[in-house]
Amino acid sequence: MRLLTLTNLHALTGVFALDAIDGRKRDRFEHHLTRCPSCAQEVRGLQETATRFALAVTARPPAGLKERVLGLADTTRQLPPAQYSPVRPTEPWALWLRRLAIPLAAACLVVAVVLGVLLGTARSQLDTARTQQRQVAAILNAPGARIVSARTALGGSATVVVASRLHELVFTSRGMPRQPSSKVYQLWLLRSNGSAISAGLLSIAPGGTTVPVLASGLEPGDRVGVTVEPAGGTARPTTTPIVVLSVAP
Amino acid sequence: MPASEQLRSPAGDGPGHDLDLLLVRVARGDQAAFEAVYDRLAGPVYGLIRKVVRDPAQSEEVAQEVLLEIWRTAARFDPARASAMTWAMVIAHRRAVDRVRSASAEAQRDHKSAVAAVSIAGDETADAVEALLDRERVTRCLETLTDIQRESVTLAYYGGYSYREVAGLLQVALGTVKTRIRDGLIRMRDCMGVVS
Repeated sequence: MRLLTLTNLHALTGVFALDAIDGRKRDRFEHHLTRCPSCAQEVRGLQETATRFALAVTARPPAGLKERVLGLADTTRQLPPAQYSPVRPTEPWALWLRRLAIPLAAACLVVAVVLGVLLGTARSQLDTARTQQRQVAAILNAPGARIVSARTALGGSATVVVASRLHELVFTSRGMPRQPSSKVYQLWLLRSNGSAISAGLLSIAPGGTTVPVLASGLEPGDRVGVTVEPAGGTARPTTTPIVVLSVAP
Repeated sequence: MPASEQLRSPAGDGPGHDLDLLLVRVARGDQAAFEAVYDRLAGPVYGLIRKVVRDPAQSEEVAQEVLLEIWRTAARFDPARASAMTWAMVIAHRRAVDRVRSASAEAQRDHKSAVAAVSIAGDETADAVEALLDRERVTRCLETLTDIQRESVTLAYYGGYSYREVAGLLQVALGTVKTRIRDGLIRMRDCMGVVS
């Protein structure tokens, strides 16, 4: 009975996530995980679940442990990254930018709105997409790029990556409820003098994220806001913003 | 009215993202970042190990090893594969399990008291509101499990038992324990709204 059927193997996700399996069976399952993305995905979810069990029994660590651990760290050499690891981002924020980069770039192939100049009027769609991708990449990779995020009043979250030096930003969101066909989300650049400049309409892509919007011409004190407007958008906001983010320092 | 603004994960994946960022700094030898990581992780790490190992002196030893391992291996942390908190808890749980399954510990373990010992009632010192909330959520979700699912999951995780040992303790078939643990965990995952 040495042959484990696939179903049997798959059922090991739970015991693997709880470290309730040892030895050869564990090794075999670990090997299986490298070839079974759905198993690996399930294990990840179950390990995150196990983490909640761990957090539920949080306890105050003994006095003196901190000094000891920090002291030991001071004299302990760290291991290099594993050989197969991808190159690490150079800055902590780059971690998030990297996570954002692929979905953003992919989504940008679909459409992007540019404040000031609307790209794509004179060029082929592909050229437009490439340019927009480059612009998004430039923002994501700009030194000092920041991420600002907030919940919206209707649920979901809005996120802006701001490259202050470039006076540009990329706006995206996830989990905002779909609007009826008579309504639309509109993005605004809110100037410190109280004026509002439309930065385009948001379209919700499959998966509940909005297609990233690229906006340029940022000025100090600018904020970004989203309102719900009649289909087609309006020249100025007619409703209270569901979220406002400070983007310029 | 707009919700208050804050720096948070663009993917919306929970409150642990700053820990992910700190670990990236730790990987580059940033000791100040490690101190911040310690402050975030020491309670959960020690609490979990204490739950599994039980003996305070041994628990402290294992916790020290785990926290130092987090320093040593920070460069191996891959945020694409797990949150930093989960990465750390996996290390902590494995070390705790190694300790209790080692031969000498095995001899001293009182299997008969195992089932009673794994309730998560407040016999630990929780010093954070979040821990209380987590505990409440876990307790509430555990109640949605069948008896055998709940016992299997808690014996395996908090008790540090292998599923073979769990089968022996509960006197049910090995395959049953395996599937009950998976079913129970999936139900917990869905109940607690864990996104993977």
